[in-house]
Amino acid sequence: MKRARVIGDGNLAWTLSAGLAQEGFQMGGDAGAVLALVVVLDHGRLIPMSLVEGGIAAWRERFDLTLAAARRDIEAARASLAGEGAIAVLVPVEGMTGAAGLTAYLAAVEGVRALVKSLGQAWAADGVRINCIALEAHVLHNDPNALRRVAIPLAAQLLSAGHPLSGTTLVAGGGVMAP
Amino acid sequence: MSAPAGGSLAGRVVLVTGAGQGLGRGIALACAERGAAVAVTALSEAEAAVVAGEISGEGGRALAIGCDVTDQDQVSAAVAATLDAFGRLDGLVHNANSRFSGVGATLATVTDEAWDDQIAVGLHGAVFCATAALPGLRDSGGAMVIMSSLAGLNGAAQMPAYAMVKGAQRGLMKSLAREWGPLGVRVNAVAPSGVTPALEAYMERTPGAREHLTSRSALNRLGEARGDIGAAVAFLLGPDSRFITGQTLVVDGGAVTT
Repeated sequence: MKRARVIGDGNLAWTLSAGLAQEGFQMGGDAGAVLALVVVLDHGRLIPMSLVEGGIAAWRERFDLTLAAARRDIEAARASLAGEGAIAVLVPVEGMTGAAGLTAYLAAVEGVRALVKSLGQAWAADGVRINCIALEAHVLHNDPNALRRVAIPLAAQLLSAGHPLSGTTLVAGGGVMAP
Repeated sequence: MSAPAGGSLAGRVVLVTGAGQGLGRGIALACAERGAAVAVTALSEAEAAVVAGEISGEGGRALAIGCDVTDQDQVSAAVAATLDAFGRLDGLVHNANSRFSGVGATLATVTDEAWDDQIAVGLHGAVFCATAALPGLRDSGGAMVIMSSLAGLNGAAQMPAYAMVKGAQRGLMKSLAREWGPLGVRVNAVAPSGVTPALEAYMERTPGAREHLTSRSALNRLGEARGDIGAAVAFLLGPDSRFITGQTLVVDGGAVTT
């Protein structure tokens, strides 16, 4: 039996958890695979704001908190693995392209992707793989149908035992090509 | 060397953080060599003064400023002093690094102090620089360069916090390039591999390190802080790169190919 666990909460986590169950994963408990949710800001807080307009207070709220939550979730995912396993981290694809007004949030996202690359190397010897799945932010937040259609099959593949990838980002954003 | 009147940065003013030694010193010297007046900022004002003295000794114009980039007031004051001294600001290079940058630690062992300090210097410092410099850069149609790292592109198994900061700097750069493009201000990053005093010390104490690092380069040598890294940064600040923004320029002799 394939076991998996979703780190995170809210509708997004529920949708992912239900989707992975449909893909044949037994959800919950000590996991052989973990889906870590790194999308910590709700859509309402992603109102574009220029770096200068927001100042350091907005930067700290968006960058520092996003990164801290991502680190917490990734560490929780790693701790919940029973021996070897895999972690998939969902990130908005906009981090790869940049977007005006979302500087702090997307800087944190790109920091998370570099962290995942590092951990992919560092944890390989322990049999732990970690990758990112990059989706358009509106899909992550507002489009559960697209999430089921695109993200869940990809996550199911990445979280399956024996999958070779680690430290990479699979881009599943409509029309966005990996740079 | 004397600053050429017709150099690619002639008449321009550049502020470099972390310019008291290593790559920052090389960048400051390279910009001055091409005609820029340079605000040399460093945590140690004495170190900044030495580099500023080198520039003056070569016929260039320089201003030494002690500046802790984690202090927004100090960064604002450094930019203001630059504008007071030279009347304009055309380029800002955020090169300052945390003292923890070269310290190996896994995600499980990295201390909160090291994690926070690397964010404070690398990211918060960049934000303070960007915020303070924007009016001057907008007036001049200038450019900002953020010194990232190959670790930000490739990750670093033994330095995940460092890689995270360097990756985040690239993310900051990309979004800022889109944000500031309509204002006529360009933003780019450089991922360098160049010899610094810290790298020299590492190679001295680590058998085989110099050969290993050299062999990674397609050009079979290590980069020079001034002639290789500094020159590339000067290019990104100058007129010949006027249509380049939102990019990470890898300056490592071909160790990484894109």
